Amino acid sequence: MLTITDLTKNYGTFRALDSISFSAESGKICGIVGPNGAGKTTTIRIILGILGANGGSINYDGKDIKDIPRSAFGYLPEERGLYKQSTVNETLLYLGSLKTGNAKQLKSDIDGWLERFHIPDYKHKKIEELSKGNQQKIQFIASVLHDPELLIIDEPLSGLDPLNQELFKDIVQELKQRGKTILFCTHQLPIAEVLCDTVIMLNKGTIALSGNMTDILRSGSMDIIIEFSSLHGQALPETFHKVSDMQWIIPSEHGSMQDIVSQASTYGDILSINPYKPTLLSIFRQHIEREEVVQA
Amino acid sequence: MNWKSIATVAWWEFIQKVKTKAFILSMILSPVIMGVFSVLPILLTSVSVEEPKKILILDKQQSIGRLAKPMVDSITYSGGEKKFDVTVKAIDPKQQLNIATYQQALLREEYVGMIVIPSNVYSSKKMDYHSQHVGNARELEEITEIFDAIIQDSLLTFYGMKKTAFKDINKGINLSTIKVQKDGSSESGSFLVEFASVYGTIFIILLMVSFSGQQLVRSLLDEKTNRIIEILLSSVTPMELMTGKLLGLGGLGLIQASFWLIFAWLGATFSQVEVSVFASIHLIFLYAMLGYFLFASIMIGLGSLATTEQEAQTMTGYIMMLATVPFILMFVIIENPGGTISKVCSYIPFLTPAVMSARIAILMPHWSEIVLSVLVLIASIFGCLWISAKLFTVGMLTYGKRISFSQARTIIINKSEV
Repeated sequence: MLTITDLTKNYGTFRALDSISFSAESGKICGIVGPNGAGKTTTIRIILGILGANGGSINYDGKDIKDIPRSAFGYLPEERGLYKQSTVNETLLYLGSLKTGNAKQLKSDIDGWLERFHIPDYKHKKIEELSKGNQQKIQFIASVLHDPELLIIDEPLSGLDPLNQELFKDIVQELKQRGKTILFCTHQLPIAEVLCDTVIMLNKGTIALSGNMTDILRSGSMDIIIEFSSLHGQALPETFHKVSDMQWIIPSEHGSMQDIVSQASTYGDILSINPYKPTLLSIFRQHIEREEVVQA
Repeated sequence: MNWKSIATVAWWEFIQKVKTKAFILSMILSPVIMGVFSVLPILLTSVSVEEPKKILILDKQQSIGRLAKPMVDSITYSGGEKKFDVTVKAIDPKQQLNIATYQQALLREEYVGMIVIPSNVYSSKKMDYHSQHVGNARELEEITEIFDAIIQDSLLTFYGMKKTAFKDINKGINLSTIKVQKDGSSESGSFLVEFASVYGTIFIILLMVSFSGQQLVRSLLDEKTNRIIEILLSSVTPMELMTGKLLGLGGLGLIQASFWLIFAWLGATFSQVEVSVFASIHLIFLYAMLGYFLFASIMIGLGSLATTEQEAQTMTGYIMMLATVPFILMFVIIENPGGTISKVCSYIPFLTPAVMSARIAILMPHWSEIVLSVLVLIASIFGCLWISAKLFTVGMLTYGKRISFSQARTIIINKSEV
């Protein structure tokens, strides 16, 4: 299990991470989500030992992460890049050799992974000859080739066609079944919603929300979504969340269904009333907006 | 430090570059280009595709011009083509010579040059040469030699001396240089061989630093541009990555230098020239490698800050300027390899490899100097690596944004990311 406690990072006078704490269990996929500049990449780089932290600690299975060999980590960065002039086999052998010394095992694993991704014929092709999607497959293989315990994948599905997205999802699930600790960074919240067991929402270097995905999604499920046919022109309360001009989410704190309908009818003519099924995106938006209101 | 990771990076860098056309071409072409640049000027002055140069001799002495004409006319290029076409005009010594009229003929390009022989040439030993350009020193020397010989012959007759006696008297002493080795042996030597040894040694170090250094910076820039650096730095530490790159590309330089030295050795063997530098080749190699590591350890730090190919080239250019300084010192070292200037320069890290290699090629310094200079170099390499390692991680992970000098200084002093 990966445990991060009070992690802090400054770039000069700018605080990129402000005492964040979370954990990611083995055999589970932990999603890290957040807008640009939230601190996702900095967090990843500190976990991988690429950057140092100004405070806090990171442990893996009870040991300081600095004492864990780098071969225990696999990393697929968001920014894609490979040696364009080298062949697939050369590239994978090199990147794999940096993590493990077992060349024989590595060679056989390369064949296995190329088969798994349906690209065995590309083994001796130059990287520049491959499509963007296939290059992404090679980079993913490079991150898992040495069978790491902790896998950090940053936007692994971006730029892939739906079939390949499904293939990637299946493989990530397989790795989870094999007990790997997986950190899944993404902007694509619907994918995180389906794939991740737990989620960490970062915003401006702090954790806006974290927990079990099912619990988080359930947390707003007592809310009501009301659609108006017309509005009386009176401003709606700030506690009502706007979906569109005519659609508003009313949190369950406003009372029973009868109370909510009674309140809402004072603002307009109601067309429909339905229980609200929140998405990760809507929850994320609510939290970000709430934080902005608090800061203002 | 994990040496297995370092070896993996080194092997990758080596094997990826060694099979490129650029490497093979530079290895073969560099000595060829060097050879061409050395030989071509001599070849160009010894062959001609032009008409013989018209020379006018205005002879106030009345006889020397006539005697010189067939001799000057007989000077040819190595291909047998005639170099000069001489016209002699005897001038009455009592008559005032209107030199401006003849100079007009030069300006009209009727003649390339004009030689004026005064009537008192035997006593004054002075003649004038007029031309629109007077840079053809080699040709003028050939003509002067002819006039010298004519005047000498006439004067010998005048003084009643025999030509053979004069030649015997005039024969200079041939000072044979014998280089005494520290092991008690001796061998014949010459300035030319010494010069070629020093020039060749400094040149090989410069080429090695230049080629491998540029490859190093390009490799960094590629990995930074395509962002593969993030994968690498998640697998190995910055120091391991840097060391691996330095070793791998150093191996590349070593192969190049070996090839060129074999080339030079073959050349020396075929031309039957004894070059003492080959006896100390192991030390030259040591300094060449240390020199490469020193310059490369600076390049790796600065190169990691570059964001474009142009920036990288500018940075490499400044470092290469440092590597060329020993050429300025070359003659000082050849003249006095054990002198104060040579000794002081031996301990200035950027100069040490070339200066010590040059000194070894001429006169083997005391072993204590070799040990001390190697220690200075090793300490400097580690110092530069220490600074570069601080810049490396920040520089390599900073995309599209230039790191200023003050930011770089902050990184080095405070060890913080900007």
